[in-house]
Amino acid sequence: MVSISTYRDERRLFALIGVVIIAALVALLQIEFTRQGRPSPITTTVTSIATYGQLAVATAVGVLHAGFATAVDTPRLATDNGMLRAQNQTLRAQNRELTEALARVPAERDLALAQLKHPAGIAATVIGYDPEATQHLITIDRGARDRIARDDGVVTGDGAVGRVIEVAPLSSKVLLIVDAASKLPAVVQHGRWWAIAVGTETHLKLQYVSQDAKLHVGDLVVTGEGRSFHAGTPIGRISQISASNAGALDQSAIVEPAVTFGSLSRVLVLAK
Amino acid sequence: MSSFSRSSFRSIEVVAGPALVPTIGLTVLAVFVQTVFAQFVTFHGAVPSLVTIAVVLYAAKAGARRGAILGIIAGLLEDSFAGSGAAWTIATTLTALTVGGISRTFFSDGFAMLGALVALAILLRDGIFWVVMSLEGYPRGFAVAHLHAALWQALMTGLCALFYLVMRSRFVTDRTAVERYP
Repeated sequence: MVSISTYRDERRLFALIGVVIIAALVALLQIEFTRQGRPSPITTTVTSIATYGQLAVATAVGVLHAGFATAVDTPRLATDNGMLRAQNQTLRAQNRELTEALARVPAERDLALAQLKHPAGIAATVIGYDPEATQHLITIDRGARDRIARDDGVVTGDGAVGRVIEVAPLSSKVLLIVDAASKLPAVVQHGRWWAIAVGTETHLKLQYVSQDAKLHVGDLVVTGEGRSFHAGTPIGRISQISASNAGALDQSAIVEPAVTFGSLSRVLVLAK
Repeated sequence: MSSFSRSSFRSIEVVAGPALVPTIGLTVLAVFVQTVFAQFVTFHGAVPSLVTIAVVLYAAKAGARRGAILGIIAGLLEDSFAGSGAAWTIATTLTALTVGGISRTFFSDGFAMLGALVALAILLRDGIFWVVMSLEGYPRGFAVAHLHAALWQALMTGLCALFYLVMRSRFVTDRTAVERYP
């Protein structure tokens, strides 16, 4: 049989030979660069292209994995989120309570000091003021049911606050010592000079102090034994001494109250 | 019996102001707000009087009779909180009667006019209050201090009333009600 070689078969043969030659060249090139210990340009090119390819594949896989994980974890995340929200609410509430407790520390400290001096005193909270601020009085949350009576003295750890002027079953009204209607027996601690402390709306005026008294600015003024207070409760300190007229039988002085009346919140009632 | 007989005659009062009961409710709320927050908004010894705003504006709209009813209730409440005998009751009622009476002589629709009316009412009310208090035995030695506080209160309350009226005009439409005397 005679084989017939066609033009097409020749082309295949040449292509095969070409591929063999190129493969040999590539192999030689690779071997040469390997001997030199360097990556060949072909290796570099292939590696670079492969890197971008790997990056793209890794990103796609990562996105798919994250999406899958999110889909799987969503119920658990929703539960966690709910728990964290509840926890956050609880912590916020605790924070508010602690902030309030912290703000009340000075008042509670004053009250504790007053209770040390007057163990039988009745602790009370200030719940109201004169709505028109024409008189200096406060309303407290203790009344006749707590054994509070008219003319009971009211103090804080700093000193005298006032006296009870009206008692209801559940609340009482306290006239502050700075009110113009307030008068209480007072003693200048240094020298034991007796006087009457009268309210002047913002301060107290120490009246009927003997001309013989040597008053000094800064002298502590305390209560004398009286209907509402026992002796020795601080009223305030002398801030100004009025010049007495010639021939006058007495002198007077202005007293800065020991208690800050603008921030009263907790007081102690000295029930008889 | 003639149709002019008193027993068969029922007069009609035209009331341009708000209804009495809701106004009483708001005034009671105002007294509570004042008694709790008065200490925190005191300026120069004075606080803006929401009660006076309510009573004066109501009396100016609804007349002396209804204003006086509101004044008695508001004054009683204030006296119960302030321990001031009957001073606020008398002062607030008389103020409401005065405002209700004189409001018939002018158009009380302008904001500035009403604001000024509230401020003047404060001075009148405080004046009556301190007269009654001094009659009840309160020391008279601080008239100047009380006058200063009253002036500040008049200014602050007048401004509050003006603010309220401006805000109200933006959000509320007045209605006119026709009610019968019982």
